[in-house]
Amino acid sequence: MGVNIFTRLFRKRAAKKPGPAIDRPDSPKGKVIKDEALKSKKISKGLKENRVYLEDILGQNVDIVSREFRLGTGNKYAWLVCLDSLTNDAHISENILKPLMLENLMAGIDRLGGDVIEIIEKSILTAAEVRSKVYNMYDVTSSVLYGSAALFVDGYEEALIINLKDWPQRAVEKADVEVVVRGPKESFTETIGVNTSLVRRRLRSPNLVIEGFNLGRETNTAVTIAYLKGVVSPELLQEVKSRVNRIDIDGILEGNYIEELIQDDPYTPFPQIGFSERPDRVVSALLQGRVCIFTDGTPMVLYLPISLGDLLQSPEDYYARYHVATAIRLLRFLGLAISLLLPSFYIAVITFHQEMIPTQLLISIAASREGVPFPAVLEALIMELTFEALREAGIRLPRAVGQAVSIVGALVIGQSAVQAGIVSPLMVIVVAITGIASFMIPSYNLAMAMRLIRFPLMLLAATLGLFGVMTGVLAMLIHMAGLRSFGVPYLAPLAPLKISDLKDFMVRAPWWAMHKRPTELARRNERRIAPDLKPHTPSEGDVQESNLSLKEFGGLDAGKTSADGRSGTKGGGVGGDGT
Amino acid sequence: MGMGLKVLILSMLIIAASLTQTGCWDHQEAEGLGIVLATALDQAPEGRVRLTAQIISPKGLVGGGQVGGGGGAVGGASSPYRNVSVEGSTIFDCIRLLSLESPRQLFFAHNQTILISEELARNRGIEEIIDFFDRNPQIRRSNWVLIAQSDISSIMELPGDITSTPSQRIPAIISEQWLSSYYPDIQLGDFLEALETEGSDAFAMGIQVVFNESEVRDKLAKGSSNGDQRQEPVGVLIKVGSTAVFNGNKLAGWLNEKESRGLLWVTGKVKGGVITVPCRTENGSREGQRLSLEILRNESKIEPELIDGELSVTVKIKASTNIQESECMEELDKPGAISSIEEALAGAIQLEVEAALAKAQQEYGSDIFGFGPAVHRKYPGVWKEIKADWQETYHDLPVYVEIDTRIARTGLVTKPVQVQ
Repeated sequence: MGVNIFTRLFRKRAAKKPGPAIDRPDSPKGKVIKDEALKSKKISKGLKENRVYLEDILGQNVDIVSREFRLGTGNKYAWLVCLDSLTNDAHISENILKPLMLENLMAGIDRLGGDVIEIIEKSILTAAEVRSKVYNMYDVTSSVLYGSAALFVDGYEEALIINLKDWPQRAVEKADVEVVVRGPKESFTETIGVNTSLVRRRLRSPNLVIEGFNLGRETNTAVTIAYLKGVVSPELLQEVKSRVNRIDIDGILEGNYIEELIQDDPYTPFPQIGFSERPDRVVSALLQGRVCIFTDGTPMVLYLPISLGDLLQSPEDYYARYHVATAIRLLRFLGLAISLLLPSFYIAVITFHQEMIPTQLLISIAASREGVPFPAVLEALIMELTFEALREAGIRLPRAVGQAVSIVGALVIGQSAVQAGIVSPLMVIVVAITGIASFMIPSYNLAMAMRLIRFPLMLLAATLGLFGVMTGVLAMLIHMAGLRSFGVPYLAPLAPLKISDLKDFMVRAPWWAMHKRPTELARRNERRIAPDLKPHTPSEGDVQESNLSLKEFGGLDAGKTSADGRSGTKGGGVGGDGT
Repeated sequence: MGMGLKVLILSMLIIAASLTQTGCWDHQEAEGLGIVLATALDQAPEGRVRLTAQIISPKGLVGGGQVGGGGGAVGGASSPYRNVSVEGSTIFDCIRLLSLESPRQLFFAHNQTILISEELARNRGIEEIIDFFDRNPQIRRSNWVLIAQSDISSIMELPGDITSTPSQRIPAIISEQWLSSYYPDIQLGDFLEALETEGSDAFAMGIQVVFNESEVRDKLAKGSSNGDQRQEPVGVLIKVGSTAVFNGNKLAGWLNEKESRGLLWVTGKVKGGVITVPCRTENGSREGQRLSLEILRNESKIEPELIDGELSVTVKIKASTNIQESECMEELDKPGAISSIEEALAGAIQLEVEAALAKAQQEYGSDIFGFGPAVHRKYPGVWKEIKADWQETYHDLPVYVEIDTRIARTGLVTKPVQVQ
């Protein structure tokens, strides 16, 4: 409401005074504003001039708050500008206007002499985050457009930027894409600050560095790079920074904009940068020496470098008991193979290599295919495409209609097609198993790649049989062996064989056995877990020691007991898992 | 839009073109195949061969349960199999002639049984017959080779209740060979190997049609047959048993079931079966009461020996058994009981082996035991001299049999059932 009054007032006055546009040929009114122009434009001493300049730029917006006021009872005037859609009105009045206008302290601010701006910053403003020494208009506009208020004081070539960000945002909710049974359920939101806080809360280390900058000429999207100092390799960090700095694009709406601009091989269908919506996964990546890139406006955080193995891991692998986690990982590799190869294998065997099928199975296949009008390839393509269409429709359709799609899909594909004799029941099973298998791949990225590659493989199978399938798979393997993600080979622990990294590839070794970080990532700081953590039946000495510590710290509150108890028994051992 | 993209597009075009232009030429949909499960060969007039192929009708075999809902009343229209037969001058000729009659290309990769009629095996050289099966890439070496003692067509037309085609029935019976060891389970690979090895002769399983006495009696008692029964002539069964012995190129004769097992003892291939021995009479058992032993394991070693230019062969047989049934009064936990059974068992095995030797060595002169190759291995120099007339040497070759038997387990029951 107040905003409208302000803007109307401003517009009337601007209309009354035809001055500035004629006076100054560099007036930005009505022009497209270039960053360079803003950067070169210095804040002038005259409050009016600054105000006119900024109102020429932002004044057409309905949500602008432009407020000129007197500092206390003195003769100094100040001007506050901000966007009301990004800031909190109550905070403005509470933390800026009230101290500056009402409180008696201000009675003689201009008579005190000295730097008024400095006094305001140091003594009067109660907002937490205030940036001073801002001299050019670029910093002012970019801050205002990101939810800060800019305060100009008459007679000073400097502005104060006060952070009052407040905008509607989604609450932290349960993870949608990466679901786990055991483990944290939180997921990132669209607000970068919230995402940072979710990570910080899990990684309370002074070594966690989150560097920020803005990307996108028009969107000015906040992008941050997070890493764990001392673990991350400096070369990697340098490379990431230089690649990100190269980006010059009008807008960044999602992490993929960055991903496609910085990935190593621009043509490959295989993802070379991982993404996650889970703070725990990001923290685990940071602990392994990876670099994470947060993008404002998306709940997906990029982490890199990655290899194929990382895409087949779920955070839950580390929360479940390791036997189960290992079994599930093996199942996942099987799922990967099935989702990639089953349809093409089926086509190849059924059209070229009937001798490979067990006799009874061949007889039932032949029986089920009798009367099917299409060759196996076409049948498979029809079914796979239908399945993909259903899947896509299921994702895109409004929730309310989704139910209908699944019913239609199940009925049409499962029954009618078979009964109509268009496809054989076995093909339905093959497609269904393939579909299920592709959902077993934890990385959505990789699952999509597999979905895509499946089709050329099916064509190869249809033309060259198993020979074609093998050719395709070999070509794929050769391609993957040549891929690198920020210097890390894509088939990492396998292709350049790293025995110690195999502990966390197809199997998940128990925590006490995984002493080192992935060697490709953390060359300088490999040790992760103290070497002798494997639980064992205590010898006599151990029993005594633990009894002692129990007695000693028995009376303290629970939180303290555990912390002190650990340092008491383990001594220097803690250092190992700290960083 | 640099070189990379151009190369990519170009290579994709080349791949697409090469696949669509050349691929698929040998593609064949599964339902378009005439799956042959059994092939039978018989003699035809004028030195020709008659080939019968049993083609599976998948729908008839599987469809009943699936589409018809287990009706079973599908009738003759979708019988599970169909026999096609044709006469030709060679086997391959026959197979190509079959394409005149069969709407589906015959597919032999799933053939499981090769049946050869006794007349054909006796009169025509087996080399000529078997060469096709050796050469053709579709034929597996795991095909069963059987010599038919009964009429080929009667065997090929005898579906059963459990397996609805004879071609499935025969392998199913052979899979139980280890329960009796009364015939050698010979696969095409073994058969060819024996044929082609210097000095050894081949042998194969025998198959015949026999009367099922209980069914015949049943039928006679009822007086009439109910018409809706299966095509199987009531009271007739397929029986696999005995051994067809070849001498060189031609069928020489047969070993009965005991003799067949004698052969298998020598070759160490007895995988199971029952062997009975008479009880010791001094323990209160009556004459004619017997003890049944189940054969568990068998090993054998053929050791040729050359002493003063005199060639002889020692066959060392090891057998271990289980006691399965006892009519004897003897208590098994008595000292000496087990060793006396072992002795009796050795005697029983000896009888079987000697019977086999008498037939194969003396009567047919066929070295089906592989003595020749054993001599060849041990005395390669001597073999060169004697191989030309191995036939005669073999006929008079002294064969010593040493048998080492063991009762592995007697079970928990040590005393026979006794009415008190």
